[in-house]
Order: sequence, then structure tokens, then C-alpha cells
Amino acid sequence: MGKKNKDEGPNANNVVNKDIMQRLNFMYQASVYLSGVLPIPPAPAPQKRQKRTRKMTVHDLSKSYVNSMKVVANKTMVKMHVPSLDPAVKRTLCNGCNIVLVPGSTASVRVKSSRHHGHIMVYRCGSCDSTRRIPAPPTLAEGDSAPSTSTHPDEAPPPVDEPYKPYKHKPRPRPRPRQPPLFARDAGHVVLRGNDKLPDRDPDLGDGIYIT
Amino acid sequence: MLLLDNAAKESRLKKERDAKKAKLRAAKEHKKLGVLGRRQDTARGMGLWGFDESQAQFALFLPLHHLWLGYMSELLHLPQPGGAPRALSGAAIHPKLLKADFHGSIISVHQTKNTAILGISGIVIHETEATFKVVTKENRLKVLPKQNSIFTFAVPVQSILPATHDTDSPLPLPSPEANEELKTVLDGPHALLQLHGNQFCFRAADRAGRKFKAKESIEL
Repeated sequence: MGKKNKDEGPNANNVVNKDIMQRLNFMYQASVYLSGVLPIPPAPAPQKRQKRTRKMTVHDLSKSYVNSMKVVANKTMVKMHVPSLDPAVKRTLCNGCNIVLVPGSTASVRVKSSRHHGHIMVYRCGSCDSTRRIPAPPTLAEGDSAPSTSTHPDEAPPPVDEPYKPYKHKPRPRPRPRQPPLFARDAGHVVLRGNDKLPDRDPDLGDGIYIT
Repeated sequence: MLLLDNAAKESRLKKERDAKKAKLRAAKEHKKLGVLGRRQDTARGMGLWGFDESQAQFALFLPLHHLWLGYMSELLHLPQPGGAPRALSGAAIHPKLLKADFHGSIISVHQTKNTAILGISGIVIHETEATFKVVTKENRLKVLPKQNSIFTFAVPVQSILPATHDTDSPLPLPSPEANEELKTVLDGPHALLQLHGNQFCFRAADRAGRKFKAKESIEL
């Protein structure tokens, strides 16, 4: 890994693999177009003693575009032990059938509660019925430090001579707020538009592409 | 000291168990390979390579073609319309086009050994290792083998993207309903490029990371 001059900052002209990025972008958008251009036909009832002759549809095409998008990303952007697609993009793809999960169109979104994370977003794919569970724990506000473990000072120990009380279960500890994942966090990322740098985005609004 | 003539045999149960394990492992590998993720049959049995004829409509794929034109404008840094048209230099665009995606482009068969497909032109909707699948203007799906054919495809000379376009915004996509005046690349100023099918027999995804070597091409 060659060292780069840090003072220059990122520049749109020397983004590595720019043409590959553009290709991935195109394939993603083509896949979204084809997955939404016709309604998903209902699955035909399975019939016995009949040869299955399923024809390829535009939905299968859209899946095959995403499939080859994954292959392109894996083959070209070689980083060691790092999944090559950006996690923000990867989270919008179905693991079962490679369709792009668009909430309301190809996926239904439900929020479920979870003991560990507080909440979990469940994306159910409309075509293959598989689910993608994305934990959505309470997030720390920007600049907050890690929460202190004991916010309430311990009260005085209970007096010894107390009437017998039935044992009560302690309430479960609530999930602690934590920082959002690295790709959704303001960790020194720079957004480039054309050749100039964009100002930092509003952390409250986001830019609308993350499923977090 | 006694030499055992009959060495300890592997027990039958163990053999069966191992065979079962190997079978399970093979099944798992096979499942991973599935094109649709949930393959339960061979690709041919599922009809993967046939395309639904009712969906092979040219108008349906025209927006995809326009998406591709936007992609080409972005990839090749095409100048805005109005300015002086700049000649595309081969050395600059060939390595980019080799790594580009051809889904959505309009190709036509220029020369071929198989005269039945000569002159067929259409929007590429699927590219496999050995074929292009195109939808023609007559709303027919045609499978064009790459082997022994020379294709031509057109790239626009001027950018179709608006001047305000940036890398952050999506490529423009017209709606399939209001496309009376939608045009293909052939209706505007364009450059025709030749594609030698014999040297292009790779999967679309593999081309991205592949180094192409100059091979002598045999005339058809």
C-alpha cells in the first residue's frame, strides 16, 4: 500500500475503479427499474405430473443483474477480508433471491422488538419470502460518549430488619444506546459530487439511502 | 507374535455415514450455485434460459436503453450537446468499454458465419458467456451466439445527461408509459463500434477484472 499525500484530500478524479463504480451504479439502477416495471405475477399452483416450464421474466433479469453486480464487486474491488459492496448497498439486496428490496414495492418492513438490540427492522422479500433482519438499536447522539454504566447512585442498603418480601426478578437491562454502524456514521467520510467536495450532511436527516 | 492377515476393515456403518455426509455437502454446494438462489432443479428444467415471450416488448426495455445511454455519457465523459462534437479516441474509450456493461445497449449483427442471424438488431437484455439475448423492434426475443459473429453497437457522441448532472443523482429514467417520442441512440448523432464476438466469449461479470490480450482475428 503506497502512502498518499493526506493534505490533498480525496479527489473525484483519482477515485480508484471509477468505471467499476459507474458500472455497479448502472446495474443497480437497471435492476431497480426492471423489478418494478411489471407487477410480480402470483406463483402458479404446483401441479403434479406436469413438466415445470417456468420462463424467465423481467424479475429474473433484474435478479441476474444484481447477481452479476455482486460478482463484479467481488472480483474487482479486492480488499482483504472486507466484503466488497458497500454495506449500505448490500443491506438493500435480498439474500435469498438477489432482488433489490424497495420498501413498499418489493419488500415489506416491520419493526420487531428484540431483547438485545431494542428493535429489529425485518425486511421480508415479496418474491422469495426470505427475511433480512437489521438491528436498529437506540443510537447515541453525535458526540456523546459511551453511556456510564450506573447513572443512578446506589441507594442506601436496605435495613436488615425488614419483613420478608417475595423475590422479584430484576428487570432486564435495556439495550444500551450505541453508535450507528461505521458506514452510517460521520467517521471522516467525504462525499464527492463531480470534482468538488460536498458539505457534511445533516446527521438528523441523513441522505436517504441507508437502511439502518 | 501373530500377524493379522485380515486387517481391520472400515465398518459398514462408518462408510454409510461418510457417504451421507459427502452427499449432504455436495447438495449444499449445489444449492449455493443456484442462479435464482433457490434452485431445485437444473437450469433447463426450470426454464431459466427461455424468456417469457409476452414480456419481450421493445417498449418495455427502451427505458433500460436510455439508462444505458446515461451510463455511457457518464463513463466516456461525453461533451454536452451544442458544443463542438469531439471525436472519440479509441485508445481512451476501448479499455473503458471492455469493462463496461452491455445490458441495455443496441447491437446488431454485422458479419457472421451464421447467415440466419445476419442483420438482427435489438436491445441486449441478458448477456451470457456465449450469447447475447436481444429484444428486437418487432418485439421478438433473439438469442445471438457470440462465436463467429461481428457485432456493431452505437454509443452516443453527445451526452444525454443534463448539464446539471452529478455523480450523486440517479441516471435519468423515462417512464415506459409516455414514450411516444423516446428515441434510441441511432436517432441522434452516434459512433458505431465493432465488437468481435470471438474474442468476447466471457461472462459479463468476468470481463470487469479480466486482462484482454490481443489475438489475431480470423476473417469470417
